[in-house]
Amino acid sequence: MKLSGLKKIILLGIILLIIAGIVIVALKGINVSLILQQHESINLLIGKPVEIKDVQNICNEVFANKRVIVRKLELFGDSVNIISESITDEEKSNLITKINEKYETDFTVDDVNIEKNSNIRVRDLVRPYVLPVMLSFVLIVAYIIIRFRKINSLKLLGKICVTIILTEALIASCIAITRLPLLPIMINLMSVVAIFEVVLFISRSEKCLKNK
Amino acid sequence: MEKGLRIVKTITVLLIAILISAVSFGGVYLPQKGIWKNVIKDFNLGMEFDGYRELRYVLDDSEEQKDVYVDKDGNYMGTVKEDTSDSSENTENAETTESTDTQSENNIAKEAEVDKDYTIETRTIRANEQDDINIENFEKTKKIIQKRLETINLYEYNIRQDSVTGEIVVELPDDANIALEESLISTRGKLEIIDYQNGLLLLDNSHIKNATVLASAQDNQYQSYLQLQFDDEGKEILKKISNEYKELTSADGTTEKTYVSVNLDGQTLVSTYFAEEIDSGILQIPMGNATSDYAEYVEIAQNATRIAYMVNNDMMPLVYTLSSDNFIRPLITEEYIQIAKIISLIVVIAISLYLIIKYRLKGLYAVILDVAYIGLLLLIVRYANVLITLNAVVAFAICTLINYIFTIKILNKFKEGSNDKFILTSTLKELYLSIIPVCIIAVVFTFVSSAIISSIGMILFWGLVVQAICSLVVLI
Repeated sequence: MKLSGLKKIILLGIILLIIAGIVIVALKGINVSLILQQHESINLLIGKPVEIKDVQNICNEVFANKRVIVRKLELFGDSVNIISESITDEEKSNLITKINEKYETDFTVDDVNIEKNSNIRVRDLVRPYVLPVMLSFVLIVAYIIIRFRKINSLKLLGKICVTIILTEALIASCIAITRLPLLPIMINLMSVVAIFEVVLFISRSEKCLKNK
Repeated sequence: MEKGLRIVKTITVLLIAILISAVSFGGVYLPQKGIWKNVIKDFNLGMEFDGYRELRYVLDDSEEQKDVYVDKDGNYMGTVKEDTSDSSENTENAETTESTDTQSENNIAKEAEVDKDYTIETRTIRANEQDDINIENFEKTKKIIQKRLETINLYEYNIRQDSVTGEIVVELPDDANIALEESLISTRGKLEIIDYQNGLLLLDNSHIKNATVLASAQDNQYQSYLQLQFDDEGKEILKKISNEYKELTSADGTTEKTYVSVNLDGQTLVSTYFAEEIDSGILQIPMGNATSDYAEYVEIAQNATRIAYMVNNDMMPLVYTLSSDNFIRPLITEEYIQIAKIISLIVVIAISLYLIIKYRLKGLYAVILDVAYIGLLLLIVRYANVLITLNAVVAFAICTLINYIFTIKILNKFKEGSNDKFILTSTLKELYLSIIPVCIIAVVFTFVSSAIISSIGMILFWGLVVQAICSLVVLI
């Protein structure tokens, strides 16, 4: 298969990006979302209406470079759940001091517990998807082989597979390079891209079939 | 004449489309107790949009000094019953359910009943033995919890386990099932048949081959039964105990009954005696009382099903207790949802303007139909009770995108002057053939038991159905 000059440059760019992504993952690992990975949390029942932004600002000061997520707790909007990769005693103490200053509460270090939340295993998240995805894959492959048998369906399948692998690897590399936190929604969006690629190939092949 | 009919058809279609859009986006307001309320069903939101309950379970470290029966090898054979005067327990006849006697009248002194093969010892009974606290049992417990939750929760949960302390954090949707889910996690699933009088263990899970739930309905009275089928050894034991624990009539004509109790994790489900010898190895235990209230019966039957499920599957090797229960609000707040709505609105307006500018009147017609498509799909999603997760939102975006692709392709054909129905039909056929993979995914995913996956399938499926309806409208 001969490639034109522009296509060669694009392909080279894609390969370089994929290599860069692999290197970053090898050196730094995948940046999994804080919600999914192991973290520590503190629950604070403040007792008066709380604005997430205000608590987030306090947390940003206390936890400096660490990733922090602040969510409301319970239904009344007067409690917060603060999660971070890790929380030291010093950070806990600073956080309590600042929260007491801001909300005129009287929390002490002993009142507040640091809870450890283990990671959610990726295999637990993926498990329910395995069977339907495999079944859909087999059915789609069977359909392509039967439907396009007159125009070399195996070659078409090969093309589809290579394109999907390349684009998915490219997207994954971009996520790795930009250090975007990995969330299940990203995997879903990658799946959407793959589905549309298949649709595009089938659409083109239908035209080829019609012309034949 | 034909032109007039076409105009009438077009106006009708447009009015229906506008009506659907108005109902879906605006709602239908009717007075309810003096207040105007939107009667359109709400979306069934998933954990990502509706928050979740964070249940934290720790290993139960309780211990108690108890008098227990031990056999010659020192094996535990039941706990010596401390008080036998509890008459509040549910006592039923296993065979006939007719018994109304209270067992308190007929209790037999526990000491007299203890088989001489056993001795009584005072032991420290721990909820979890030190030897059992290991990583293998942590893993096993987690898998059992996952299996149990998946029978009722449809996979919408997250589970975290600390491999050092064994602590488990389960994130569950805050819905009507939460109490049942909590009990599924904290119930070990240890089923025992004990001597009601003295607490001596007669049969346990190890002899149960299978557990099922049966139901009977007579004279508008519903009754659930937990049917236990025992293995060969259990069959012999059951035969023996069914001859021992029954109504006995002494020489002077007085009757006395000896009872067995069926316990789950130490909690008595039912205390009963046998009317006749059971040599089939099958024991039917009535669950609760017969009731004419169908809802109550369903609840009892569900509870029995849960017990049957736990008995049929592995018993949890470790006992956990709930240490905290918090409702965590979603990360995707109302503010983010508003931003997403505004962005979606801008995208729809931009596409609509493009269609109107490029295709003029037909473009406007298409825009109205496209908005109605989104509206109708949103209505179906509400009434089909599709779980709205981020996956479902992605599926919705796919449907909308496919719809716009169809619209543009058909409008292009119209612009080319191909008003011929044959050309339009062949274009639509081509488009539908291209999206066969999406149809396959829609069908496969719809029939998956996991709600987070079936929501993708259902939205794709209904999206394609509504798409087909829109195509028919164009063709007619």
